[in-house]
Amino acid sequence: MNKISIDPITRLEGHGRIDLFIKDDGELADAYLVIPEIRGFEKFAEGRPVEELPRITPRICGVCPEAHHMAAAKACDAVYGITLPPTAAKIRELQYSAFYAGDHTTHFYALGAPDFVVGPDAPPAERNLVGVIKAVGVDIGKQVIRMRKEAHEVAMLLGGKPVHPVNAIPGGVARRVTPEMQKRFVEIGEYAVEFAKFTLKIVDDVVLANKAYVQMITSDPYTLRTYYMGLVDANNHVNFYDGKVRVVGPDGREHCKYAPADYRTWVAEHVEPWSYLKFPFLRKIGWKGFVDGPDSGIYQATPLSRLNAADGMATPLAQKEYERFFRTLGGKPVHHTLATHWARCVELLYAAEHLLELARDPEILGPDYRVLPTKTPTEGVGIVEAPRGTLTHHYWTDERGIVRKANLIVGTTNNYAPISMAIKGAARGLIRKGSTVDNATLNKIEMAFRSYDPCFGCATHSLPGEMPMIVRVRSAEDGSILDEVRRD
Amino acid sequence: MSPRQVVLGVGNAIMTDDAVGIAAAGVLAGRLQDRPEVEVRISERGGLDLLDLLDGCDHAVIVDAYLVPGEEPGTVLTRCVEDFSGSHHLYAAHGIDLPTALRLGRELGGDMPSRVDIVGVVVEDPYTVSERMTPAVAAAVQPAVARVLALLDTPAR
Repeated sequence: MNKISIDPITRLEGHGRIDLFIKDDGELADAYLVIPEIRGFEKFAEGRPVEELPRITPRICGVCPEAHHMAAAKACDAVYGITLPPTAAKIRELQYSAFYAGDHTTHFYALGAPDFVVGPDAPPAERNLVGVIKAVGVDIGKQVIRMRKEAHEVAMLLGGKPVHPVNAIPGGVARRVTPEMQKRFVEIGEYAVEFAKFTLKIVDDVVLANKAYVQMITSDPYTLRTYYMGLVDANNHVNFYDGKVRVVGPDGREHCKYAPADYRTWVAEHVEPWSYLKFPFLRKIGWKGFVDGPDSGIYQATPLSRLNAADGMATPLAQKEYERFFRTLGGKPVHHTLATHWARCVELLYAAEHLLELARDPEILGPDYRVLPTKTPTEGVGIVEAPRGTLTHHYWTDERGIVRKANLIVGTTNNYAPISMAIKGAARGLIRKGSTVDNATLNKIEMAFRSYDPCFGCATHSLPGEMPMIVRVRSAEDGSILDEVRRD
Repeated sequence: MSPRQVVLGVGNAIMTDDAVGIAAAGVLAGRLQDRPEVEVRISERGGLDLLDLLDGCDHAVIVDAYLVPGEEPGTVLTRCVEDFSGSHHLYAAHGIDLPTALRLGRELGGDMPSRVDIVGVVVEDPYTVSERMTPAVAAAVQPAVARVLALLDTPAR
C-alpha cells in the first residue's frame, strides 16, 4: 500500500507558518507568525441564550476549554449583575486550580522539558515526552500521567463526565460538593503539591545546574523587554480565576490595574494586512510596530508575565519559589522568554497549594453554591487567566438574555506580537540569505515561541494544539520565496 | 469489564465538517448498543487524552476528519496507525501525536490497543464555526459508519 500523508500542514497552508524576510545583504529584516483563520464565532453566538455560552465557548478550543468555560461563566455573572456566594466562587476556583495543575504539567513535560532534558539539538523524533521519560525514568512518567488523570478527576467529580466542562453556570455551579468529594479533593491536592515540588527539583537538577542552559535562557536572542499583564488579587498576588488585571512596564513599575469591565479603556487591537488575527496593545502607550521597550504598547501575558505583574504568590511554598526565581535571574522584571518554563513550574506549585487549600476549606460544602439571576441582563465582561494568557469574554444581550454581540480576546492573542518578535530575535544570526535551515536551527527558532505555549486553537476562533513547523525564507525586497523548510 | 473494542469519534462538533467523526460516533452508539464488547467514545481533544480514551481495549477504530489535497470532500479513507503522520486533532494537543501517545502509553505500562484503525472523512471546511456540515461530508457519515462496522468485524491483518 502506498503511504499517504494526512498532513495537518495542508490545512494550515498559506496561514500557519513562519515567514522570515531576508534583505539583499543577507540580513534578517522581519519575522512573522502567520496563523489560520477560523470564521464565524461571533455570528454563531448571536441569537443564543447567553447561559449557553459557558457550554459552547469551551468547544472553540480543544486545549484549554476550562478557561473558556470559566471566563464565559464569569461574563454571564456580569451580564446578570450577580455577585457569587463564597461557596460557589471557591468551588469554581478549586476546579480551575485542578485544571491548571493538569495543564501546566502537560506543557512542562510534553513541550518545555524536551528541549532541556533531551537537549535542544536532539532529533525531533526523540525530543518529546517519550524522550523525557527515557531520560528521567518511567516512574516520573507514570507520575505525570497520574497528575493529569487526577486533575481530570476533580473536573469529573464536579461536572459529571462530559466531553467539555459544564459545572459553572450563571450565578455559581451546578453541583454541590459532598464530604466524599471533598475527601478525594484533599488527596488529589496533597499529591499535586508533592508532584509540583519534584517538578521544580527537575528544573533545578536539569536546567539550572547546567551552565550552558542558563546562559541560553539569559541570552539576548531570548530576551524581550515589554510590558507584562496578569490577574492579581487584592494583595497583588497572582490569581488565575479572579481579581483585577495589572500591567507593569519593562522597568517593573505599575502601568495600570483595571477591573475586567474596563478592559477596553486599556487594551486596543492593531490590524496588519498579512494576518487575520489582531494584535492587542496597550491603548495609552500606543502601537509603535514590532518593537519592545517602554514606548511600545506591546505586552506579554504568560506565566512569566503573571509573575512579573504581581508582587508575589498567595501560597507559602510558591512564594518561596517566586523569590528564588527573581533572585536567581537578577531581580524583577525578568525579560528572558525561556524563563517562562520555570515560571510555569512556580505557578504549578501555586495551583497545587491553592487546590489543597480550597479542598480543605469547609466552606466548599456550603449550601449556597448558586444564586438565581433575577436582574435584567445587559452586558458583561469575564476575565480569567488562561494558562496561555489573560482571557477576556465580553457579551452584550437583549433584555431576555439573548446574545446580541460577543467579543473575545484569548490567551495566545495577547502574545501574538511578542511571539513574532521572539521568533525574529531567535532567527537573527541563525538565518541568512543562502544559508541552509537545518533541524537544530529550526528548533532554536521554535523554542522561542514554544515558551509561550502558543495555542491558536481559539486565537483564531480553532486549531487546537501545537503547530507543525513551516518556515519560509522570503526576500524582503519582493517577497519571493528563497527557501522553505517544514517539519511535520 | 473493559471493552474489547473501542470506537473513538474525534473532532469538533461546532466546526462545520470537523464534526464528522463525532456525528459518525453518534450513529454508531445507536447501532452498537447490543454489542457489549464494543464501547463508543467521543473526544474533542487529542494527544495525551488519547491515552485514557484508548486504554484497556484490544482494538480501536478512530473516526476523524481529514484534509487531503486532491481528494474529494466526503471520501472515506481507512488507514492504520503506522500510516499516520498527523491530523487536525490527533496530531494536535501540544506535541503529542497518536503514534507517540500510543508508544508512551505502552512504555508507561498502559494497556494500549494492539491494533488501531483510523477511518477518515475528507472534509471541505473545518474552519467555520457552525453545527452544520457541508452536504458532501454530511452524506459521508453513513459510509463512514459502514466502514467502522466492517473494521470491527475484520480480523487483524
